[in-house]
Amino acid sequence: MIEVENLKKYFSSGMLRKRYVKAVDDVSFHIEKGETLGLVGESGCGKTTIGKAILKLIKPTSGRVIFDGVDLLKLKKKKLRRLRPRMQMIFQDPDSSLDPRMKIGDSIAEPLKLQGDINKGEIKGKILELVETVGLNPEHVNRYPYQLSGGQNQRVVLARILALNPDFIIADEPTSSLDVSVQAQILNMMNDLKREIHLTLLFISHDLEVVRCMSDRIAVMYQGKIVEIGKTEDIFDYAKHPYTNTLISPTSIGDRVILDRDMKNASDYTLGCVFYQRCPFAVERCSKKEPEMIEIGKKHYVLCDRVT
Amino acid sequence: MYKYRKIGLVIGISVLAAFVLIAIFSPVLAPYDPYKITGAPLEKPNRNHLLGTNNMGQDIFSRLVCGTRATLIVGFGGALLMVLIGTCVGIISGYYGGKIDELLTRAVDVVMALPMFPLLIMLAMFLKPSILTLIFLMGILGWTGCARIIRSQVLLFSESNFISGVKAIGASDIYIMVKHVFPNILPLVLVKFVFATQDCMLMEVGLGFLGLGDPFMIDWGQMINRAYIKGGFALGLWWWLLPPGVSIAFLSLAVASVGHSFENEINPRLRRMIL
Ligand SMILES: Nc1ncnc2c1ncn2[C@@H]1O[C@H](COP(=O)(O)OP(=O)(O)O)[C@@H](O)[C@H]1O
Ligand SMILES: [Mg+2]
Repeated sequence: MIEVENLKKYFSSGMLRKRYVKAVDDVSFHIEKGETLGLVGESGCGKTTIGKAILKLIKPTSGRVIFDGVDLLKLKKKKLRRLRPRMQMIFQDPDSSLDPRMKIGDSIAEPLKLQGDINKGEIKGKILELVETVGLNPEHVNRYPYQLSGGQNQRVVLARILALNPDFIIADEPTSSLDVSVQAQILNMMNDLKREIHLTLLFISHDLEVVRCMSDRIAVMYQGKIVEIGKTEDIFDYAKHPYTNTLISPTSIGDRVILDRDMKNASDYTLGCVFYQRCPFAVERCSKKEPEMIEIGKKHYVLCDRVT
Repeated sequence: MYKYRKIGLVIGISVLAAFVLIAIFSPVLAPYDPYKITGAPLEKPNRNHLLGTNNMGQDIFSRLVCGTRATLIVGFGGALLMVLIGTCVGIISGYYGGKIDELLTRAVDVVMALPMFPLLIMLAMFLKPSILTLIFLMGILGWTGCARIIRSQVLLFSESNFISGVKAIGASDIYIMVKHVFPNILPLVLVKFVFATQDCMLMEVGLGFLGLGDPFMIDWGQMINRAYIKGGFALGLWWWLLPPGVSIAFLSLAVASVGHSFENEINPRLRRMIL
């Protein structure tokens, strides 16, 4: 369904001396139809950037994104626009995901209107149907986003997206800014929808537990790189990468982890493993040579040279 | 504080509305034909001539009333053109970013570096002076401030999630700019428009004073000029010199007061929209 190959996104900053932040650095993975891939990693590791780059909402530095056999990054603007409704993204902050000057109803109707050939009566019916699907009240339709809670706004975003009948959705920490109870409701709803309409999903979160309950497979990300990817059970039971292990049980090797503050910008390092500075098992060779992705089980890959 | 602002807005709008009404109904309100000689030269204010007469025996009050039009038309017209150009450039520049933005920002810098009023004077001297010329000149010389502030606002906006969301739906850039970007910066555009109106009115009177106004219309600047040149100032004939000056001062203050109330009203709103 979707294939990402060697995707890179470097942000440059500085006028005279250009500095690069390697937000996404040579990432490859694929998601099959109907499958949910979870993407975990600490804040700032490049998860949102991957999501936006896949949908070409920001221009990737290099790489390929193939959706249903079409290379999105080579696509002409017009063709891309026509393809876009099939791929959608839910953003982290629901309150900034809606036009503050548009009523909820108009926001939900917008994708329908942009698709064309649908009359007013049909739109009205469809809006009410969608509002119900996502668990909102019909009277919310005449309100503005600032009059609703974060959870309600996220439901509106979901309704808007469902109006398009997309094949592929990227959910970027859709619940991380919401209360725990609301979080559970939204996650349950997404799980139901997934089953009902056979969605393909890239589910992004910094919370491993949330990802666990949503995903078929999990990709673990660290500083712009995917360091381990595999089936959900395998990641939890047979995690091989030391970083994955710190995520699963933070105390297991926590006392040995060295957090070098200067390394916040570890992307300056071009040589060696991204995790070298924090890795308890690192040997000298890890700082010299970039590790390669190796297959250690069925659909289970690790970016580490020390795994045997 | 809030109450004072509100009072400022009400007074400002009332004064402005009064001037607009005067401008519209000036032919009815003026007691005499402002061009006709209706009395002796240099009459003092009296029952027939409320503000006396000028050196040619024309009724000063009638001329004052009829002069309102030129200032208002140039003020609003010039501001409209300024804000129109500024908003378009600002939105395009901020929305697209990249090369287009660089190019437009450079253009803004160049036009902004030009000394506006001296250039306005020069161009007005070369071109056929008329109301439309003045509006046109003010528009093409004065849009940069608006463009710059709108651009920075749009720049912030374009990175927000909801713009990404609309893009992801498959909307065209034009659609996004018209339907989403513009409505969200409209309050700012209004504030810019009001202050631009003030600037244009003052410039109009200034140009009138320099004799560069529309020769087929009476304007306040030209009245002040005449009073000054023909000895009104030297003779201390305040009723000749003062009324146009006081009128433009009142009008300008009223517009500024409306602008400031709008600005205060909008600032917290803009902040909420972006964060
Ligand atoms: N528009 C941008 N300009 C410059 N740097 C950016 C931009 N967006 C993100 N980054 C940087 O890229 C890195 C990854 O960011 P992001 O993808 O938002 O991480 P995450 O979603 O995992 O928290 C961060 O270091 C961030 O500072
Ligand atoms: Mg993020």
